[in-house]
Formats: sequence, structure tokens, C-alpha cells
Amino acid sequence: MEEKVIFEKVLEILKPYVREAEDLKTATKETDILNDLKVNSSRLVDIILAIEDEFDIEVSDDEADEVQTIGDAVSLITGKI
Amino acid sequence: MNSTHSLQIDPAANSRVLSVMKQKNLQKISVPFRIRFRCTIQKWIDWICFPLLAPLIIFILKYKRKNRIKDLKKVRMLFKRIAGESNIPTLICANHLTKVDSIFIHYAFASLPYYWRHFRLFSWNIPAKENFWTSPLDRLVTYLGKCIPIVRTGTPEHHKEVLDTLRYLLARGELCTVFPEGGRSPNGRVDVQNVRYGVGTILNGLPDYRVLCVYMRAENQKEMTDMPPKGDTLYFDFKVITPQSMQTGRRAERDISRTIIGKIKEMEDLYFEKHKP
Repeated sequence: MEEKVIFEKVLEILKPYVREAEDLKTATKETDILNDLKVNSSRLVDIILAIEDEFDIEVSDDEADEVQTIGDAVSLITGKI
Repeated sequence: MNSTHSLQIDPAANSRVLSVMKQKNLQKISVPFRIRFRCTIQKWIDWICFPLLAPLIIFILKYKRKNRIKDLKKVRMLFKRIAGESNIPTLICANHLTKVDSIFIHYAFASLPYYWRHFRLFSWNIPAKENFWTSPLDRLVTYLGKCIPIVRTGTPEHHKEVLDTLRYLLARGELCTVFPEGGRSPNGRVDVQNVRYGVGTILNGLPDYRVLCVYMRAENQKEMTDMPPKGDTLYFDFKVITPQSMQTGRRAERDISRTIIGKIKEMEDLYFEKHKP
């Protein structure tokens, strides 16, 4: 799967959890999920579970802890599919 | 007030079962020596200071702020039957509207002499360090109140250590109180969407457990505040549940957390049904 497609799918997953949906329009791989998109930290688990479901992968706790930016999520997914 | 808990308990059989269960639990739940040592010392110090500090706090709530608990005797009798007669790891999960909710939970559930005799039932709390660790006096009161402060923005390692500590304490028959919403409800209503899955993380590692879901509210409480309104009577309801999940790992933690917050929400709906204007 192309990285761009993964990126778009990650944005789609993040949509319900971001405070301002507009922020996603300008999001890049460097966008910080918690600080820039203002996602509630307790929702990160939901995001990881949604990623697991969408891409049919398993993410360990340590790997999940490393995800801070959209790019981190994309790299994690790319490395597993 | 309803409780799904069975009240028919044979004390002798219960004691034998508990002894085996406690050993079983302790074998599976281990934390580093420094944490075990720290908790033991803190508990002893808290117990020694309890007769000095607790009456003062209750005096302030009862006589200075004039807050009362509705059906206090009934609440205490039920709590005694639920928590006092069994050592099954019990986590108290409550809604959160004021900064002193955990103090009111203590006040409502048992008398000071009862806590003094059964100090394990005086539950551990995990206040946010940002709020309760600001002055030396706050630190002292927090320490003496069986609290394990947590840094909300702390590292995953720190969060894990706090959750492991709570799991260890629960397995030893200690009671712990947590607020599944993670903070106070800004609009005064239980926010089901905002549940933290830490509560599921604590329970998911235990071989056996139950949850005492608590719904509390001062009669004139409209939204979150530091203290309940002066002179108000607090309504208390609680139910015992054992949330389970067919899933594993994070998914199980999410299921368990959602079941708990769902039950608390249900109790809130019942409250507003009963207190329609």
C-alpha cells in the first residue's frame, strides 16, 4: 500500500478525535497528534485500535507509546504491512 | 439504593477462600520492593496520624460547610456488608464533580472508628500531582490521606508504575478509588465519551475483582466545582459489578472501562429520573 494512501487513511481515523476538523486539512507527517491536533490523550488507545482494525496489524504497547506524529503512525503501519 | 451484591456470606468459609485467593493474587501481582516498602510505610504512618487528621477534616465538612450525606446509616451499612466482609479486590469507581469527592466517599462509607479498625477499607486515591502537590501542607495531607499522586502528563513508565501499584494494593485486599473520567465532569454530567482506559488496565491484570460503582451528587450541584455547595446534602448510590470482556489486552481494557462508565451513567440517569423538577 502506498504511503500516501496510508496517510489519508490515518487522517480519516483521526477525524472523530480531533478538536477542529479543519486542522486535518493542513496536517503533514510532522503534525503532532496530541499538541497540534489537540486530540485527548486518553483517545490515543482508540486511535491505535482503529489503526489495528483498519490495517489488520497488531501494535504493542511500546510501539504505541512511540507514536506522536502522523508520520510516526504512518511509519509504524508501513513497517507492519 | 440497590446493590447487586450477595449479602449471604459465611465468615469462616469466606476467610479460607480469601486466604487462598490472596496468596494466588499476590503470586501474580508483584511490584518492586521499593514500591511495596513505600506503600507499607505510608499506610502505617497514615494509620498513626489518622485520629489526628481525619476528625478535623470531617469537622470542617460537617460543621463548617454543613454538608450532609443522605441516608448515611444505610450507605454505611451497605458498604460494610459489601467491602467489610470480603477481601476480593475491590475498585471504587465514581463520578467526579468536586475536588473533594474522594473525601466525601470516605465520609459516606464508614465512621472514623470503623476505618481505624479496618484501615484497608480507607481507600487509596490517585490525585493529580498538578492539583494536590503544590504546597508542603498539600503534600502532607495528600500523603497522610493514602494518596499516590499521578502526573497526568507523565511518562508511560510513570503511569504504568502507578497502575501497577494500585493493582498490587487491590490484590492485597486494599480498597482503591479512581475516577474513570480522569478529571471532573465540566458540564456536571458523566461524560461517557471521555472515559480513561486506565481503570480497565488496573483490573485487566487481576485474576479476580469487582467494581463498586458510585454515583454521588450534591442536591444543588449544577456543574463541576472545587467544593460541593455549602449546606448541601449529598446523594449517594452504588452498585457492585464485575465487568468482563471476551477480548484481550487494550480491547479488554476498553470494554471494562466502558462497562464501568456506562453503569455510572445509568446511575446518573436514575438520579435525574428520581429528581425531576
